[in-house]
Amino acid sequence: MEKFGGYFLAQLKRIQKVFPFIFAMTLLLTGCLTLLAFSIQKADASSEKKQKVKIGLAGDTADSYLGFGILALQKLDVSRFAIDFLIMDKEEAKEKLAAGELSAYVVIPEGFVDALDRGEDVQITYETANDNAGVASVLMNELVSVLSDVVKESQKAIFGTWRILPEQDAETDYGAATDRLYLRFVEMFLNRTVFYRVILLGVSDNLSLKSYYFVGIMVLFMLLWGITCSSLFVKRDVSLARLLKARGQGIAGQVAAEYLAYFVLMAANMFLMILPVEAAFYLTGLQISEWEGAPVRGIILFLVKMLPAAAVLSGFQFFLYELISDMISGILLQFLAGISLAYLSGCIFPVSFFPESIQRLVYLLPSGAVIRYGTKCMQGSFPAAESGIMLFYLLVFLGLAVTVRERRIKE
Amino acid sequence: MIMMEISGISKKFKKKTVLKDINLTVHEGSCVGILGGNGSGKSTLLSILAGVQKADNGSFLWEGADLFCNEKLRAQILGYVPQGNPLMEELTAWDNLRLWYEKKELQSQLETGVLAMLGISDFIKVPVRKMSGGMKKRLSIGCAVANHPRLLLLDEPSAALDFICKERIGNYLKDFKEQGGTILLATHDVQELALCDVWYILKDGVLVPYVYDGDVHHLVGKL
Repeated sequence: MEKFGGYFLAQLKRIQKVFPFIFAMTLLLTGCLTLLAFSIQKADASSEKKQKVKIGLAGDTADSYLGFGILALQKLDVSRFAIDFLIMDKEEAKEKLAAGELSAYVVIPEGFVDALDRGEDVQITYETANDNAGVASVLMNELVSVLSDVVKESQKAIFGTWRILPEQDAETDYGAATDRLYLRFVEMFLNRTVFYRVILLGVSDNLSLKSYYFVGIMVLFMLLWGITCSSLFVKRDVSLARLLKARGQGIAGQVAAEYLAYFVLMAANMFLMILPVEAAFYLTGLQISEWEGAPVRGIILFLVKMLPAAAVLSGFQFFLYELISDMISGILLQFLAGISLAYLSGCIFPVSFFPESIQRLVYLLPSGAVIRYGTKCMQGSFPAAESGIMLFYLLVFLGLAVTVRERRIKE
Repeated sequence: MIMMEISGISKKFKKKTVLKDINLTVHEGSCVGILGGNGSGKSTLLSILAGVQKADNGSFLWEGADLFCNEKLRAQILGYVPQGNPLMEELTAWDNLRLWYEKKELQSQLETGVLAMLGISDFIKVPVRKMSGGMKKRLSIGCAVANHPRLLLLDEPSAALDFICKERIGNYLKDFKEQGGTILLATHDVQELALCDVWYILKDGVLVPYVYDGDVHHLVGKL
């Protein structure tokens, strides 16, 4: 224990000597990543504004009722800000869909409105490209389904009215009654301001998108901060490990002392990064709903809870450094491992955006466990199961580091 | 007086036998030179004796006590200078030595003891990364002998050092021997060979006695 303590203190001293450099590098890296993320987000937001879904309307659009409906969609309905309805013939629509100028087109059959009036089962054809799995396609599927429901339900209402009116002897002019019903319906349709209410359930465990991304970005930074510590871990001579072993300090003790010192460095980095993060929050007006009212207390408490996550990621980085003995490979390995784990685990896009097979894989990844742990911490609950998984991963990484060190000193 | 007895040590790495039934007897205050080409197994033998690696077979007795079975005793008796430098690059000589010495003892050793003899006081505040190869090697020896060992295992201590530094290390080893210390030295260096009382050649895993009379050509032919 005496040897362990001495070695741990020596490691802390090493870290103390290089800490200003490491912190400056961390600050620089974090700043660059933040700027990059900010510019990407800004570019995305402006391109989204310019982007409108284009839908072609082909076939029999000459009917006055239908023409009025289309005009209402083009000029009056709020959907006009997101969707352009363009009237064209079927051939033109087909060509434009193939050229990617349209997201989809709708073919209205000949005499559609009259057929509806007669109560015939007529269908509007909605055609889209097979591989079009984007937002436009999802939006149109929803729209078609809503319109179909609206037509079916209003048709039922009309036929119901025609049946009820004679039974009740209420009115003899069914046509006038139907017209009034139509007008009432159109009036209700056009008078709506907000037809729907959006409730954002969140992307992970009902966490708000901002909070989720805060966790994700923090994990991404933690994964990449390992790069800045390369000067501490690469180009290491195993002679010291050999001498320590000869003097009775086992490999497990050496690894534990070095790892603990590294963890202290990571934790110090994490807490010192509060200042720039707080400044960024203040400048951008960003607010995390979970910390409403007490943002400083919220972030500090969150960071304390995130210490086990820092412990796992430090263990992972420590293990990677144990595998490598030169600077370039060390930095490359840390960067590639960090960025790929961050991407797969949902630091950049929420995991729910990925196919199920990837989601299953993420569940097994240590960074996936860290994200799950972080999101639970953000919600304020104690993630007991996730804590167990974190401890498991930490022990695995330290065990692997011990095994690699054993092999290295015997070479 | 026989201090150290090595018998039947052998070591295999996968299918390659590096050491075959190594037997060696060493007297108190003597310096044993282990000679051999690169990859002959000199470093493996020393690291097995130092406890860094385990032998497949054999025993290592010190005054009758088996050091393979008594880790504590081995750590007390043995000083080991591995081939590289067991130092922390970011720290000064003082900080590195503090890992092995108590503060008071360190000060006294720097003034009059072994560290003074190695000339470490001259660069005590210099960070390791700014030291020359000779400084680093002297500091490494200073770290290795902090426990006042009775047996010193040195793995090519003078490799790539200048004459002044070799001289300084040589003087220290002579003094160590005179005070009754026993040395096991793996080396290629002619100057170091002259320090030894007994020589052995390690070739194809087998340790055979050799009489070195200063004829380097003859020695090279045997390696």
